[in-house]
Order: sequence, then structure tokens, then C-alpha cells
Amino acid sequence: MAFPLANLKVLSNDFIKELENDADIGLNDDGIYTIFFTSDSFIQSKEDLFPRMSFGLPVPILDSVVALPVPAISELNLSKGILKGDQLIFLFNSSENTDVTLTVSLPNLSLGGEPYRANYIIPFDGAAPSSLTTEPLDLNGYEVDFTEKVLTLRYDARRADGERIVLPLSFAQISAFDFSYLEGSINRTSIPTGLQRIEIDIQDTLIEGDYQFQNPKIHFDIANNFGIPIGIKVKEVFVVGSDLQQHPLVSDLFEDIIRLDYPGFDQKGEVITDRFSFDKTNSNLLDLAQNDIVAIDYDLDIIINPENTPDVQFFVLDSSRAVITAEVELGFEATIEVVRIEKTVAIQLGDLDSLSFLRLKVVIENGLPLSFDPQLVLEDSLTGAQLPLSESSGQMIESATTDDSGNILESSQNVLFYQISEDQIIQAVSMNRLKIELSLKSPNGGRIPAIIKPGQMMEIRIGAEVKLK
Amino acid sequence: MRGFPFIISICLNLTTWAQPELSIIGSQELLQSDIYNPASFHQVGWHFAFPSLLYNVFHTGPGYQKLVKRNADGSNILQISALRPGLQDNNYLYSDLRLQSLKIKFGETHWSVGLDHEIIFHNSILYPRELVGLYLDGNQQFIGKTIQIGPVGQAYSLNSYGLNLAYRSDKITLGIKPRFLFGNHFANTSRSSALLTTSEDVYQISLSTDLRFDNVGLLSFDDANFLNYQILPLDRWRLITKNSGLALDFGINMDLSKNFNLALSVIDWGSIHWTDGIRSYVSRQTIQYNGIEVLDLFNKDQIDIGGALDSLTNIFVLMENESAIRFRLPTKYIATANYQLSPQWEVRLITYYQKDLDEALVLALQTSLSINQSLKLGSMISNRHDELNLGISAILNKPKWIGFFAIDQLLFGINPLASNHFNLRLGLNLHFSGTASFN
Repeated sequence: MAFPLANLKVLSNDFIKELENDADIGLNDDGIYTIFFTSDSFIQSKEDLFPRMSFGLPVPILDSVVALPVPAISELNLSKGILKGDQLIFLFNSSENTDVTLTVSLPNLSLGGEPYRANYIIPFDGAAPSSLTTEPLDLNGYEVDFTEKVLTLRYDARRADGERIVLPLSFAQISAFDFSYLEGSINRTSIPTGLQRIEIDIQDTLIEGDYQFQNPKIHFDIANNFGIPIGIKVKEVFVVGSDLQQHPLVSDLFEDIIRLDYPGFDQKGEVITDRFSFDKTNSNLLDLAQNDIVAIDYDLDIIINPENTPDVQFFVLDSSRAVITAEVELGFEATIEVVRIEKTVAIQLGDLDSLSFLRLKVVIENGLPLSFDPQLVLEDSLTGAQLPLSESSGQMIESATTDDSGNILESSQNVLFYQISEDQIIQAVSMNRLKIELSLKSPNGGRIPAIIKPGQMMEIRIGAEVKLK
Repeated sequence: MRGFPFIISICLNLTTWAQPELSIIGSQELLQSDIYNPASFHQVGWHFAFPSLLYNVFHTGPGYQKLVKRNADGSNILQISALRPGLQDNNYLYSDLRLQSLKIKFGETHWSVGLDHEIIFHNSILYPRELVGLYLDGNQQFIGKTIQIGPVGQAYSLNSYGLNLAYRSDKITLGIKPRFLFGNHFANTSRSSALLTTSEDVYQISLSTDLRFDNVGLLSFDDANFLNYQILPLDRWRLITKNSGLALDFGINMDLSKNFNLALSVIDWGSIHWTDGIRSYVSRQTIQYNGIEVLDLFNKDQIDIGGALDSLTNIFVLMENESAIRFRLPTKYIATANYQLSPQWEVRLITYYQKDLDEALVLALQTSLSINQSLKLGSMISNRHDELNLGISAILNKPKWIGFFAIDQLLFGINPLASNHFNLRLGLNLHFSGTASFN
């Protein structure tokens, strides 16, 4: 009898999925399957640049006009800030024998455009001195005008007969200065990220063999919604090879600060993303990647206001963050001298015992840019016995034909025969596993890169010729 | 010289064809000849026939002995491998077994009436060379080809109750015989196309069918699968059944001159309505089997080859229904021209045409010689399926009885178990007044 046994389709998608395991494999900008290795993100938030400033002690009010301190950060020249969630409490004292009427104003602190102004009464309870502790004032949303560098507190205190007085020592208690929004200018500032590392665990994650990625890339992605001019100074990048030595990357990008875009005042809240990359066109990365890569080390600084222009105004939102992520991209555009994949499946061959002859015809239309040399071995998991099945004429599966750049032109047609004699059938009946070993090469014996893209397919059709006993 | 026409008749025609009972058709003095022409055998008096048996088999392949082997346990098995030698493009197996159990006829000068009962088994099968090759050696030999594997077949068994009426004028006899039929077994392929294609690629199999197989009590198919057939025991036999039908035989016998006689007849013009136990298996589709589909190879942990083979057998699944059908009997048209060469010698040309049969036309040249008043010997040459056949017959005519035998096919042996072309009719008839002697 001659009959078809199976029709198998191996898509590049499945092939990649099989390789994927713990690796992150996706598509790069060219639509090529790519392994991505990503660093932990380096994050600078508003709290890192403008930390909340707490005040441990109350500020004494010695006179009817008092300058309260405001936060000051070196390199910063703030012009406006909006507070969030903090409280202002006054403790007023009186030595008068009457009630004291009090009007308090903070002209540098306003809400909705209206400067802060409040009236209080220090009640006389029959015996001087008297005091008043005001209800906490929620400062959330109050705008601070930093142009005078201080907060001016004024009060007008009058006895019951209308005579204006100066209160004895009183206090203003501000819990903290914490801003949800800041405006101002800033001098050039450098924020070091320190030496960072991306582990490249291809050897463990993927497959064994000799292969060379043809277009490795190192990307640095910056996502920023600080309204501040920003730049990156790449101090050094090392490719760590399998010898665990750091091999320095050489590139023109090291020479200058890489200036990045940032949101303007009309883009408040928007995140501006930017990317700069090292690849074979602007660095010696391809040369360094000749050997296996096990890690990438890098060190860079974030430069704020890299032009150091004092007039440039910035803004900071409560949610402002700058996130720097490094990513190594190893696209499946690789010359492969040899890579081996092995898979073992359970198989039931008891039905073969009625056969005296079996020949499998395997027709393969290979649309993958990889050649395969399949080795099939039947195994008995109990006894360990093995029965290798050899292609009758030593044929292998040729890769799809490609141009010199590795672009696929057409699928290859392959016909393989596996003939199994009666003696082998007798042995095979007790076998319960089929081990498939595939040795892969990129086109032209591994000299042309294999470019793996979605939708590439290898169709395998298997037919059987059998003779019954 | 008396034997000259006999020898000539043997040598003359190497391309005429033979078919059952040609010897009987031409022997109008036998009571059984009215089976093939109701106007035949018009004799005055009472005539009785003892049970008379016809056994006829024509097979392009081997005979029964080679084809059926007996197992050690006593069961018989069909040796398909015995078909291999001599396979032709199209192969035929025809067989008839007719047992006439009762036959009575009474004749006057101008009319006669008769009753008879006959048990009839008939089958005709045409099977292509490729079907046998496929069974024996599989489809490897047909890789890259499309073959027709649908056999054409017809088989039935029935009881026939006939009333023979004939009227004779001076030179012409007209006869009609209505027959009441009750069927027991039936098989018929009213449509029989099954094209099997085995692809050169990886032997993908395509089966394109336009099949209809009607069956009563002969075969069953488990799971309605064509491959899972079972031959049912032929223990279902009743004289009267619900599968009833009616057929008419009619004929004319003309004495055109003193020495020349022409007889024409049409028999089996009718049908049987099969209602009891009828099962029809129908397949009208094209199925392509490409093997099992595996789309997620890397996630496969197990390969089940047995499952693939099970899927393959499913392409032979048939639709089953139990609707009653009307089966038209294969009508036969027979013409016999008889010429009396001398008081002892007769020569006759017989043509036999069976509608819907692949090899529909049979021709035979028969001679007979009356040795004396009691003994008449006949010889016949005929051909069917491009094979030469010779037949002989002998009629022993005594005053009150006639005994006869006829073998239409001598060249392939006279052992009914060994021969693949065999035809025999035996009989003994009683006649009370009116039976003519040969001279």
C-alpha cells in the first residue's frame, strides 16, 4: 500500500516560539524576528529632583511683617510652584485683656489668583495671656510666587477698642513644602546613572551552535515628561564576551551630548520618547559581536539643560519622570554555521508488526532560510536501545534560495526517503520514542545570513509505502 | 459424410459467442425450451418435467476449485490471488443456477397451458483488473495514476411461478407466460463509478465515487464502511416473500416453409419491487486524504500512526438508507432460425441479446443429428468474450419420456468445480401422448 501519513507545517512563528523559552523574542523595525534583552530602567522622578522639604520647627512670628523661608535648590531658579497636601497652622499669642481681632495675609501665596487672607480672633478668657491655634489650612492647590525668594506674612492685630498692637511671639507651622507643579529655570546639571549591565544569556536560553548575528544593536530609550531640556552623555559602553573581558565600544556618539526632545509648555503631561542606538553603522559593535556576547556594560549621565541657557524656563509636574532603558537587539539575521535542535516525541509503532517493508517518502517545501540535516533515531526508553533511521541517499533539506543579503527568493523542494527493512521493523515495534535531531545552517553553507520573518513556512508531507506480511 | 455438417459447424465459426442454455433454446422438442420462448414446445397431451437443473458459470478467471479454498476448520475462503493469472482489463463472472422444481403442460391442437415453478439464482459481476491488483498488491503500482475500482454487479435469487399459455394456428404459434416473482436475495450496483487516484507526491489518495449498491440479504457493512463488509449467510429462503414482482415472457414460432422455422421471443420483461430487508449504500463524493494534519509540530508530544490509518479508512464510508426500490429484470431477446437440412440433420442459428449486459450479444451455430428414432445428438459452436466454446447435447426420446443433457462449453473442461466456463442442463420429462419422434 502507498498512502499519505502526515502533512506537517512548520511556521517560522512556531520555530521562534520553540526557541523562545525565557527569551523575549519579537519583531524589530525591519519585521525580522529579534531577541531583545532589556536592562532595568533607570528612573528619575520629580521627587528625585525636587524632594519634599519638611520643616521640623515652627517659624517664629516676631513682628507684623515676617519673611517666611521658601525652599531653595542649588542650580534652580524657581519662579512659581503649586503646593499639594501640606498644612499651615498659626499659633497666635496675646497679652491683652480683651479679645484681639487679627487679619493675616500672605501675598505670595494665592489660591485661584486670590492672595491668602484670613481673619481670626484671639479670645480673652478672663486672664492674660491668651492664645489661638488656628485650624490647619490645607495648602493643596495654593500657588507660591517665588519672585521675592521668601513668603511674606503680614498681620493686622487690634484690641477691642481698635488700637493696633503687635502680638507677642507667635508661630507659623508649615508641615512641608511639597509641590505638584514647579516652574523656573535651571543651570546645567548632570545626573549620573552609574555602571549598568544587561545580561545576554543566549547560550543558556536559546540554542547551541556556531552562529553570528549580522546586525546587533544597542538601543537607549528615554521616556521623559519633564519640561526640561535634557541630553545624554554616554561615558562608556563595553561588550562583555565569553572571555568575560570588557571590550570597549567605539563610536562618535561618545563625543557629544546626545540632545533629546522634551515636552514644551503646551505639551504638559505628554511623554516624549527618544531613542539613540549603537549599531554596525556608527560603531564597532559588529566586530565586537564576532564572539559570543554575554553582557553589555554601560555608563551614562543624564544632562539637564545641556545648553546651560539660564533663560530657558522649565516646568515639572508631580508625575514627571524620566525613564532610561537600554535594550540589546539581536535580530535573526544571522549566519549560522551549525546549530542543533533536538526533540523527542512519544510514538506507538505496535501497528507496524504486520509489515514486512516500510519506506517513508518525505517531501519538503522549505520556505525557511535554513537548511536542515535531520537525524531520526527510534529509542526504547526502557532498555535504551536505539535504531537510527538514515535517509537512503544521505540527502538533507536545502534552505530556501536567497539572494546574497539573505532575502528569500523561493522555497526549495526536497525529497527524502527512509527505508526500513523487515529486521528493522521488528526492532522498531518495541520502540516508544522518536528522537529528532536537526542540524541547521543558514544558506550557502552558513555563509549567507538567514533572515527569519513571520509567515515563513516549511511544509512537510510524509507518505508511506508498506508491504504486509 | 453424415458427420460433415457437424464438423463444419465446429470449424466454421471461431468468433461466435456462447451463452447459457443455447442448446436448450434450439431444442424445441424439449419441454424446458419454453423457458426461453413460451411458443415453443407445443405438443398435444400431458407433459410433466421432473426437477431439472441448470448450472452455468462463465468466468474470465479461474474456476471454483482454484478460487475457493477450504480452511483447516472447514470454512471456505476466497483466494483472490488465484485471479492474478489471466487477468484482463475487464473481467466477468456470470453464474446461473436454475432449479425447475415443477413443470406441467397440457396441449391441444391449437392451444396449450402450463404451470411451472423455478428457483433462480443469477449473478453477473464485472470487475476491473485494477481492483484485483489493488487488493493483492496495494496501490503502489498505481502511484501517479487514476484507476477505476468500482465493480459492476448484479445478483438475485427468486422464486418464479409461471402460467404458460399458447395458441397455435396452422403455421404460427403465439405464446405468453406471465410469471409471478418473489425475491429472496438481491444485490445491484445501479451506479458503480469509483475512481481512485494515488498521487505521485506522497501518495495522497483521492476517491471520487458515484456509487449505489442496493442489497437484500447478501452483504452488510459495519459502520457503513465499504471496507468492513460481511457476507451474510444465505439462510433466508422463502417461497413467498414481500419482495414481489411480475414478469412477462412472450414469443412467436413460425414455420416459414417446410424446412425453415423462425422463433422470436422476449423474456424477463418485468420487475421486482424490493421492500423487505432492502439496504442501499450510496456514495457520491470526492474525498481527498492527505494524511493527518499537524500544525503545531513543536508542541506534539506524541505521534499516532494508527490514528492516521484509521482516518484513511474513513474515506470509504457510505451513506446508508432503506428505501424500497424497483428492479427491472434484465430483459433478453432471443431469435432462432432453424433449417432442416435432411430428415436427420438440422442446423440453426441462435442469437441471444441481454439488455444492459456488457457483452450483450451472443451468437451460436448449432447442428443436430438424429441417430435413430430415440437418440438425437447435437453440437454447437459459440463464442463469448472472444473465447471459443463448443457444446454438445444428447436427447434420448422414448415413448413416454425424454431424458436429456446439454453442455454448452466443452473446451474448458466438464468438471463443474474446475472449469471456469461451464454449462450443464439435465432433465427428465414425462409425456403422455403427442410427443413426436425425431424421424
